[in-house]
Amino acid sequence: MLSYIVRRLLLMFPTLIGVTVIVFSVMAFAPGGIGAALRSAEGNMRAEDRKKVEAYLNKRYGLDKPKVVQYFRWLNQVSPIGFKKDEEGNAAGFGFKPPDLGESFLRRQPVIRVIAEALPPTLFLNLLSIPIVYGIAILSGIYAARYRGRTFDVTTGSLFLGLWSIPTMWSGVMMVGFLSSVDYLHWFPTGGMHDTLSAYMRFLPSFAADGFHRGWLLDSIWHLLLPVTCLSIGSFAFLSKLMRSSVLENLQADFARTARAKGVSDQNVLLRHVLSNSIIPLITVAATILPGLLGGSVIVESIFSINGMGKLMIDAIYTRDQELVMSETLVVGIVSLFSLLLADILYALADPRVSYE
Amino acid sequence: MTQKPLLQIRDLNIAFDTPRGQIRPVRDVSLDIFPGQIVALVGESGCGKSVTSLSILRLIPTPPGKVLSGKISLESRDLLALTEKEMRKVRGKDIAMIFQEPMTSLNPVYTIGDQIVEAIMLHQHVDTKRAYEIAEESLREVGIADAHRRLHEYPHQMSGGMRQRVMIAMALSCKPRLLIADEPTTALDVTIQAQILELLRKLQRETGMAILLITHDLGVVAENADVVAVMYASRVVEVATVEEIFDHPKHPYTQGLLRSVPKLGAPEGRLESISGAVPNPARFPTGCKFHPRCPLTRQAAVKVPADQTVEIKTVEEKFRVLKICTTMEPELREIEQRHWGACHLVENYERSKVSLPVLDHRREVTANVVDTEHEGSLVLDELEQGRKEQNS
Amino acid sequence: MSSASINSSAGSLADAPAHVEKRRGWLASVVHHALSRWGTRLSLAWIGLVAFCAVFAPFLANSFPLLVKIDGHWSSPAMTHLTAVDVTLVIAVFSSIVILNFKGLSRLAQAGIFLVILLATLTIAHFVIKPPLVRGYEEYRELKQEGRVQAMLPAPIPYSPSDHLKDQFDFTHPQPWAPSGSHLFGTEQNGEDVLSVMIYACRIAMSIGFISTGIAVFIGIIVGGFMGYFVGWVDLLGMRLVEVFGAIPTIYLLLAFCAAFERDIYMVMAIIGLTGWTSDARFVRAEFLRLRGQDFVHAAIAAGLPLRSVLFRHLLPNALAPILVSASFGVAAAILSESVLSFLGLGLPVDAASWGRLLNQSVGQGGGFHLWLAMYPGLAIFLTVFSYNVIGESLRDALDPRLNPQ
Repeated sequence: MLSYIVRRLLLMFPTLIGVTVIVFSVMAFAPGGIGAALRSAEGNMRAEDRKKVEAYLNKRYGLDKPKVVQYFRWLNQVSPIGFKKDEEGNAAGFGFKPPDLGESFLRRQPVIRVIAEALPPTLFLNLLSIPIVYGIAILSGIYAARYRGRTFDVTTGSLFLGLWSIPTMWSGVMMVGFLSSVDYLHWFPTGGMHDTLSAYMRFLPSFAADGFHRGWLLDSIWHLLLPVTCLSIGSFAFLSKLMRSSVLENLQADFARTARAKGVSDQNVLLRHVLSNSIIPLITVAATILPGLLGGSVIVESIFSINGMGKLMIDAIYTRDQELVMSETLVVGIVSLFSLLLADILYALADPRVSYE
Repeated sequence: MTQKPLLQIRDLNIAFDTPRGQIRPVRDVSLDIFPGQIVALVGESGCGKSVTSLSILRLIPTPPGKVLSGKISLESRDLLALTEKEMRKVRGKDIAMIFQEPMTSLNPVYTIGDQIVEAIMLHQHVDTKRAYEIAEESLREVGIADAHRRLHEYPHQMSGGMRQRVMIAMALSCKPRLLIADEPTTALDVTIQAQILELLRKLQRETGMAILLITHDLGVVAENADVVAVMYASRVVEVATVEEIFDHPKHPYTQGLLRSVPKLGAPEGRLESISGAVPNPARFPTGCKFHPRCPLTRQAAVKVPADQTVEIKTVEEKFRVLKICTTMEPELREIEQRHWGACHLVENYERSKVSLPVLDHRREVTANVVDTEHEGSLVLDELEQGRKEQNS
Repeated sequence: MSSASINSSAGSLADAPAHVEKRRGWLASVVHHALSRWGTRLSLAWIGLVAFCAVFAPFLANSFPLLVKIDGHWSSPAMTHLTAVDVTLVIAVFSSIVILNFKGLSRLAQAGIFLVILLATLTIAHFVIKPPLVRGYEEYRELKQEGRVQAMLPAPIPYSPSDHLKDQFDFTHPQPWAPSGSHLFGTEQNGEDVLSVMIYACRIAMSIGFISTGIAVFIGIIVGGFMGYFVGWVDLLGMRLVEVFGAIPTIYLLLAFCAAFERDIYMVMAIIGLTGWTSDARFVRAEFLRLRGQDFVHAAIAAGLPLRSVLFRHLLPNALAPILVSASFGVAAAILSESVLSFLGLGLPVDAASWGRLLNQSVGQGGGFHLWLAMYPGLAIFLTVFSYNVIGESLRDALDPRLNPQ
């Protein structure tokens, strides 16, 4: 098993390099080349700031050098393994070093710190959605397969296809509009993951002399209900349909018949034999679900004002904060790659036919 | 004849609903299996033999399938009248079954041991530890070397022959009185086929269980069966002892089947085959279902006046058959002592009475049966093969 | 079983083209099967409506009247203000109807003639048609108020999408205006009529959907074909590329592109196409690899037919059906991507008529919620995406042998 993980990690390496090449190409082949977006914001900059930007870009990329050199220079800086530099910028050996994702001029702090703040909310949102999406898809898929052709099967089939087609921003806007807006119901907060006072709340809800206190937990649920619903809503369809067809297939499989011939009850044939085989394809398609969820959170975050990676990305684009945009694409790519690796390992755990050798 | 039959099938009728209408894969099938007997159910694919075997364990998917009428009794219990829960206690315990496709009949995500133990735990009141011991024991019984290690292997790590052995071990782990083997060797290599059959025979002798052997391979029948029932187009058309069937086949279909088997030492020439194809169950012909392919009725039609015959046209040819063959479906009659047939043109058919084909017969152990002494080396051969398959 | 496989390998060289012919008929039968569902037909009807709006937009929503009589003279201001694109679209539709009625021609010839006509019209229209540069949208409304208009046939929706209704500006009722008799779907923040913008937005939706999916399918077939044909290290490299593009969430890639490049509709089409080709490449590769292993291909190669011609001339048509399915989903995804970008205020020029841009304005800065700006454009996006998904789904079902045994 360990060798399998190591092999997968090694296979990830070229993909990771590929991600950096793409990110760099987008930046380098844009009209005006590297730094164009950053420099185009110069209008609002003072002269000394402009000089600083020029100097920074030159030092980081070596703008007078060919693109390939620029790429390796940049790669060396963003990777955690590479040539180290001392204070004066002279080479000081090769090895592990803190990755340097550049400087955000508008925020006046290193990009890595900005991203470190934005990553947890996004991951949290996604980690909440994945079990919900998979749970609903698996249950409804089994149910639809078991009662194939009945009302539940037909309704969920078209309902989920419909839900899948709902643009996330539409469902988000409608939810915010109807359920959160002061003009309408105002049942939910319009944005954020917590109340501004949540740090002072107790964990569990409580009653006190001055009335009901919802506590940190309820407050979080209250804030997250809409964004998580919004993020998950479109992802059932595909998974549920996959689950349904794979349960149907396995119910008719020879091994299910063998189990029945042994005297296993229909219930247990489904739960023990069919289910364990039907989950496998669901794990393999995690490769397409996960990047989709990460992408969906861009819209959700921007609608519900959650300060995650998505919102940061959009803000960075608006303010032409190029280093931030590029580093963020890189980080999201890496996060997504690692989650795919995790899915791969889960797949190997679930299916004994995957060889570890 | 003093013994009571272990399994009795009486006038079984099964229907399947399809989008194109109802089909009847099993019609008026009656069959008896006595303890310790090997009964072969023979026929081309699609003739209803597998459906019959599945219906004994009530494994026919309902819907679309359903039993229209008939009775299946195991000793004195009517299996069709049992509740689902009671039936589950019969499956695997009293009657076990092995299937055609060992490659897909085992669950790929569980180890061999887990799957055998599941059957044991369902039917015997033993703890898990003991169940694993029994499982190991039964693996050893079916000739699997290194049984303890194999328990923890997954099906994909084994060859086809190995898996079929595992299936047999699983089926026999609860010492059933009847084993239904639905084409157990069809999907296997010829050398492994022989080993598996030999194994079944050996186990049958040791345990005294009865076997219902479903096959289309007459060689398998000749070497193993005591009693043979031939099915054609959902019906049993001939029942007799294995010796009778091979020496004096009565039904033209059985005769055709036997002629289409190549024989050593036979004069050179083309191998005969039965003309035409198995009829589609959705569009059975009238009367005797075999008449469009039957050589007897064609020969007979030449000798009788034209008003007793009917002309049949197909894409390829035009011929005449006896009218009676197209209007009346023959019933299974005892045309000779201990030999049942369903054909208008068989000698004595007119005079014989309709009766149930009950035949408690054991074959003489003849010399042409391969002895089991070489088993050890065969197992080794198979191990070799299994390794090769894994490597490829 | 075994005799069947022997037959297929023995007679395979003769069979191979016949096989493809049969599969083409099969493709037609798949389409037919998909069309037999009412859901698919409804979806096609909606897409037809969107396409109709896209082509005839200037005749459906226009601040300039279709016909007008001023001071005794008849004129058609709507016609004089048509752009080259407007004219080309209308001509393209009519010429395609005419071409489709020429039964004698093969599909390929029909497509060729259509393309030639399209390009010719576009070029000629570009030089010939010069609509007035300055558009006084309020001109005819003012003329009417002055009473100089004797007769007028306005467009069904008498507002152009970029008509900011400067003449009707009303400080007591700041825009956006809620739906009313004169503005059925209301207006957006700058005073543009929502229905009018939505009708013109059909153009962007349709063109983005088809062109970017076309780009994606093209790249996918090329890359997937190369991987399936060369196998070996080309395949390895190609798969890494697919993996790389698959790993970065599409929207981040889109956003990164948008941040680096200028706002432009063609740029958006290219970007969406560039980020969406991976599934097509996977399909083509898988199909090639599957078919490579089959007996009739071995036999054809053994008989001296080069692998290249076997794969590209005879097998690629077989892969068309799954590509059709993925293209259908691809169009849906492309339309969705465009509206996401517009919703985020990126990609398209700021004044482009797009459903996503309208949706963006539904939640105002002050926290107010303009239902009509969320409802109608959102519904339009949803219905269009849903329709393409339904079509893709029923094509896939029709392709699935497990669902319709034949």
